Amino acid sequence: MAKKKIAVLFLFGLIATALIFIKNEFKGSQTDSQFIILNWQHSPDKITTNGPVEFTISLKDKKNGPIKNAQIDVEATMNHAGMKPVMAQAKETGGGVYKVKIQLTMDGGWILFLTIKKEDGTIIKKEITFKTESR
Amino acid sequence: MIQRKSLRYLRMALQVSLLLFSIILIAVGIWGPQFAPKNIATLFIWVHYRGFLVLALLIWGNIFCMSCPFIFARDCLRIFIKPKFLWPKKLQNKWTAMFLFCAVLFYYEYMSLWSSPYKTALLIIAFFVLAMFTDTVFKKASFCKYVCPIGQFNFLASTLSPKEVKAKSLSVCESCKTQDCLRGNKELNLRGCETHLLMPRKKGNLDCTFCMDCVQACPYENIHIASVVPGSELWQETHRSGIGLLSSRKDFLAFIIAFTFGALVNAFLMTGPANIIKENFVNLGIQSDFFILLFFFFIALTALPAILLFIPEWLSQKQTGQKYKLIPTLLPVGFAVWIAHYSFHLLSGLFTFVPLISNFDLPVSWMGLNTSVITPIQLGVLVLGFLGSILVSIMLSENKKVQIAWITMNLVITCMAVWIMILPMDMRGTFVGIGQ
Repeated sequence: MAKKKIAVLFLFGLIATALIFIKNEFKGSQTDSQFIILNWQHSPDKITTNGPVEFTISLKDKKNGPIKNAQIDVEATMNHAGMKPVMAQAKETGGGVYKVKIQLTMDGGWILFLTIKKEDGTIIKKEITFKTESR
Repeated sequence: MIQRKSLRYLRMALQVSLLLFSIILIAVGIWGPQFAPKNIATLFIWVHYRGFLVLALLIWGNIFCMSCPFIFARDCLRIFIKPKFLWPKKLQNKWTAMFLFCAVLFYYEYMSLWSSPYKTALLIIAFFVLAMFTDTVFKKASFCKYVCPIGQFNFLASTLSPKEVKAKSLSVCESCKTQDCLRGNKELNLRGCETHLLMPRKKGNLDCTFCMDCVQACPYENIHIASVVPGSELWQETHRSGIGLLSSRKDFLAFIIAFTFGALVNAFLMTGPANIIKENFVNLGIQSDFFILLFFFFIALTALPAILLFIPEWLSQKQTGQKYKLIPTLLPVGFAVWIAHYSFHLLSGLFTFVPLISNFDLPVSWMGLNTSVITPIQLGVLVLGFLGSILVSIMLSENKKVQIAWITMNLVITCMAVWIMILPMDMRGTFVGIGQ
């Protein structure tokens, strides 16, 4: 019985250590995305699955200046886990404004995951959430 | 003996693996990214765990109860704290578990669990706490038998499984005086069945957690995992150890109804028409999600079964004088609805976890199957479920009118399920704010 008790205490000690490790891992991986001010619009006004939706994303820095020549990878995913994403890349139209057209495949809640690679190589991640209104 | 020992180690290995996996999911759910598609807690629980659970039950048996991490944690705690009480007699039925089963289905919708890693992690913690609390206060496997909603789901679904823990020879059991399979063996420190199933009178998989305690306790090595005809136990209308006569157990029968119609409401609530109904409620001035969902659940779990079951049940009682005997005919079609629903998520998002756990740039087309492939599979499963219900109806009653009434009722359920599966999906959900 004593052996069993030690084994259980060891196992749960191991789990507690793993928990601390995982917590610290996530703390360390959090990036400061406040260096970017992101505004977005969409066309048409009603986001539906009936046709492609054009998203216009404008990026500004802390001083409200446009962020030019960035590369924006867009991953559109439903907010339910396990749905296939739609991948795209936004194109700059000038003045820190970028456009991307996406054909949404299903009605419901969506998230656009933006991976923004600035000219200086800095990578910033942002998210945009919205809902389709096909009806 | 070697085989029996290896079974014990196999079970422990499965339990420890799932325990560690659960701990990781809890941690990532709480501290990881709070976007469901980017968090393995939501992904593995709502896509992979549910999918593999129903497929394992269909293909093999109750392997997930066998591997239960909650019971492993409980066993660890019981080394330090011994339970002193017996589960209250008034609660020795499935009503508590059925309430919790419906509550989990409701909570899943109400709290939009599919889109919240944090709340998903809390649900796993709640299961651990409930299992550990119940079984350190109450003796035996009170949590498994009377509380656990997942366990009850597994018990009902495993009546359609091809594997069953059975005695090799009943004559060996007849000559046995010690009943170690039920009582255990204190000298060898081996547990007997904690859900009170005596092997020679155990019929089928109901209440069997596949824990293998009886296999290890039997001094004659007379218990094994046998192959059986899936669903055959549903037409064996005999006394079952630890359960009694199924048709006289209103708690079990009500659970079968909740299991079947719960499958329909769980699938329906993620379709476009469900959201149209919701919007109509909002337009009428009813804003509360709670009350709107309560309406859906009331219709699905009480009104709809009452309407559909009334005529076949009335006819059964009139023609044969037997009450509730054919309610188990719902199980094959009910289980088919669960499989059709969960296999959609599993197959469409089978490899969506790859980018989350590695740097491998998996092409989107490789992440899962297309709907055009999955829908025929779903429809095939529903047809098989319906065929199963036909078979159980025929085997349970010799009266043609009764058979036709129950088969028709199961056909209506199948048609409803087909309609739901081909409806446009609408992944409604809560939002976590817009990135600024």
